[in-house]
Amino acid sequence: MKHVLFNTGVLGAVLLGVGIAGAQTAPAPSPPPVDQKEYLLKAVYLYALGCNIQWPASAFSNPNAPFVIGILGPDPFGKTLQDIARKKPIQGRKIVVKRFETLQDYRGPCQMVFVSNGLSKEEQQAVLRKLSAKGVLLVGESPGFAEAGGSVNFFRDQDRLRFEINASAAKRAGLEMGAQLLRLAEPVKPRHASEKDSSALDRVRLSQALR
Amino acid sequence: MFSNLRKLIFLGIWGVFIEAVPEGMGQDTEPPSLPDVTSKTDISLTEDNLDQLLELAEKNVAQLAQVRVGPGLTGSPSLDTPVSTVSRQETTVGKSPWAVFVITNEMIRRSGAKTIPDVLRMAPGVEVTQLDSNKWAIAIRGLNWRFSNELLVQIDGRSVYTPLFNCVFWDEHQLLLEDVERIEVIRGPGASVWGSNAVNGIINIITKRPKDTQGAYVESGTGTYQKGFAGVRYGGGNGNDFQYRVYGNWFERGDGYRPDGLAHDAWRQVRTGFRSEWQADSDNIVTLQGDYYNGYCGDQGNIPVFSFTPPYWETFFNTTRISGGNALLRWAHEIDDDRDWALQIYYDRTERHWLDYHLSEVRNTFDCDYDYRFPLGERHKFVAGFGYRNTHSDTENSFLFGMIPPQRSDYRVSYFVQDQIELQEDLWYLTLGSKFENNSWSGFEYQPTVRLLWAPDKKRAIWGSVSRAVRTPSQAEQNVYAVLTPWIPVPVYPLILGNPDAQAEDMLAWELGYRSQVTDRFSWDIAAFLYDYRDKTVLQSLPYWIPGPVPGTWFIPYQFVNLGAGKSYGFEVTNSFAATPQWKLRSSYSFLVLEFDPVVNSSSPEEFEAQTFRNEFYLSSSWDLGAHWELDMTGRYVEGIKTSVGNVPSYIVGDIRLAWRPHKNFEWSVVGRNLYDGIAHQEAINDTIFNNFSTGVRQEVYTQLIWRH
Repeated sequence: MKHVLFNTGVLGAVLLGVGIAGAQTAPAPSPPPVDQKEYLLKAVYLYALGCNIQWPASAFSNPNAPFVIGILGPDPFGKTLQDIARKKPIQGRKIVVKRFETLQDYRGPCQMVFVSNGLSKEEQQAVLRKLSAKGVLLVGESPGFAEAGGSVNFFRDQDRLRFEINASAAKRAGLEMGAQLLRLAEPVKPRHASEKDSSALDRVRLSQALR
Repeated sequence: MFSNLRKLIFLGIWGVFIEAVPEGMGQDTEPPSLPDVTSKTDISLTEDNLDQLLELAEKNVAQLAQVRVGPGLTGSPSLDTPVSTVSRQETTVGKSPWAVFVITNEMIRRSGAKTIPDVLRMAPGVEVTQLDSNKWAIAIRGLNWRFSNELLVQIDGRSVYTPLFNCVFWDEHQLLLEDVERIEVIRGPGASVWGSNAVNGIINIITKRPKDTQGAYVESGTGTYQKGFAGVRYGGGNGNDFQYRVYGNWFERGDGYRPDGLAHDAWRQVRTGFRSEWQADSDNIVTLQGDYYNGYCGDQGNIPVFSFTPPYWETFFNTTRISGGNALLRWAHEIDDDRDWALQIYYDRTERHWLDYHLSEVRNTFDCDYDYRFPLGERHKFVAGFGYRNTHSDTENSFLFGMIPPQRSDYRVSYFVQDQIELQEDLWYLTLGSKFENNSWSGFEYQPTVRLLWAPDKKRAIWGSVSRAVRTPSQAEQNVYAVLTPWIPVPVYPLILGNPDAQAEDMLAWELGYRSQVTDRFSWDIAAFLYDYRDKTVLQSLPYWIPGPVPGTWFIPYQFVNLGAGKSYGFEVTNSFAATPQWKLRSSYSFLVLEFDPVVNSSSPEEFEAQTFRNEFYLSSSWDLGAHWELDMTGRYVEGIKTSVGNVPSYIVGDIRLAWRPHKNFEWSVVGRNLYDGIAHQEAINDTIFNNFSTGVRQEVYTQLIWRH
């Protein structure tokens, strides 16, 4: 008897809680999950990419132009990227970080564009179509991003952060990947990825979806 | 009538062991070792290390790739969660042919629990029964007595299982939970690497490495039941190859709930300790750690009074002083990428003084453990090891209770080898291994296991196993004498006698499991088991009575014999779902059946069944409300028990935690625990032997401030 009463009470409380919390957090596309450690490391990796990749001279409007990192979608990095920009140059150029909520907001030129997984698949697809230009390194963090034409894509391998490189996409963009990067990267597998690797399968599916 | 009496005695004896007698500490069972993590790149991911990380980015990206990010976001048991307990090799949940559940630091923090037993309530298959304010009975997959002798528990590789009663005194291990990195809960035997007494499961509590606890941390709080608690930790180092932390905590908890007000189970304790680590070079890590604690707790109950006329017992209140300490040294050496070894030595001292009973135990344990991991060819990953333990117990006896002889030394020499064979690359894994040991309780024991895992892809795995595990007899089962309160009002007093010939119990376990990471946000697993127990210890009456100390009073003697046998089976289902990145849900369901054969003239094994919860359900929700608020809710249902001496009704209780974190260094929370079931809920029947009264678990609210820098 007590439990029946209690059940109603708890259920009510839970539902109420859900309702209130839902009302507060539901609106807007949910920002990407922020695992601070993971994004700290990703920010460091963006810097590492900058240090280990050669951009064509044509990527910069003039010899003194800054190195511009664009973030497309909700910014998951907090202040880390700013800190890096303050501390370090890339290719002898000052780092400038620009944030673009959506593709419509994008203003080039950027040498590196980080495509947040807060963007929907359709948006990412549009980004890959529109921004695959000479001298722009597209970095993603969604399964299938590299296969669909991004140059670099982060993924989690157990408790480590790894990345894959689509060498032909990088080449098309006129970027020269450092040998150390290529060694570390998971090469992007051809479409007929082995059956047992379902994450590869997921990537294929997404890249098909993105197409 | 008589069989009831035996049941009672049987029931009660466990209680006696745990509560009534003095003493107890020590450890038994397998040493572990296990450097928690031996990564060559020891940079932790914090803003403070940004410069160092950037330097790697410029000069050595390969090392950057070694940095660990930690478990993923999906919340608990993601298949990628690292575990080290299962096979003494670092692996992940997804590739373990064991039923594993990992409780992370974040899960502990958000649960609002302040004791390890309360934290363990979230693990499937683990039955946590709070007896009173300072005592718990905890078991995995059944046989949950006050004397849960089938479960091995280790803290940073140090066994906290006492051979006195073959149980864990949970009141000795009030760690600063902030410093606990994770708790690995393994359901099922782990005896092939950890040795005897890892029968129904293993709980491995792993604290953070000093490099992950740098800086200051302060917590403090008060509430309706927890009168107060405070914890302080400071971590420092030389900024290079040496780090340490020191901590201290204090708490005071109130009495449990009894309608008659006869509760005397308040508990207070202080504890302090340290952990330091020296990375001599990239291949050698030396860890030195230790703890010291001291405190008082109480209990309440009846004790026998020898008389021909009533009363035959009286109410008695006891206060117990509990203190102890330990020191542990571990040296982990990496030979190359595939081969490493670890050497661990520890000393542990526990002291229990049941002040009002005039009973005590002082136990000193020395343990040494070595293990070595190496590959053989492309497909074999071996781990092999050697261990030695010596433990000495010194008890103070009273007329009603004691050990003969009062001093006893025991040893265990053990070695094991285990091979993980990759039968087909990334697809079929076969694990073969066995532990062999020689110990002074039961002689030679072997404990093999065979486990097969099939991982059709990175997100699914099916596994099955057959293993044998043994539980060695406890010191009490071999040496105890205990006079109990009469069960009915006549001057006949049960007398429990140890049996020097008590042998090890053994168990054959069959397990089957499946786990799947369905999407990045949803994972689930199921594990089923069938356990076959032989030579279980039961109490059997002896064919004579002994005259008591007062004319007209009698003792009826009972002795431990290995005549019990039976089966248990059941399953647990667990899942974890991140509904949104801010809202994570977890649930689990555990089902269990125990069937024991009756034994002539002995304690009735149906009590095993009656004492075991058949159905438990757990649900938790963790919600981030915007950037600064957290709302956590937990509900659990535990099916009641019916025994011939009392019932515990089913209960449903819940916890709620609301936390405000306006800044990364500051947290304020309000926690309500054990809500919804009135002022208190009962989880256990009285201990029928000593008539040690259990008390209800109080509904409570507390508030806590945390500051870190």
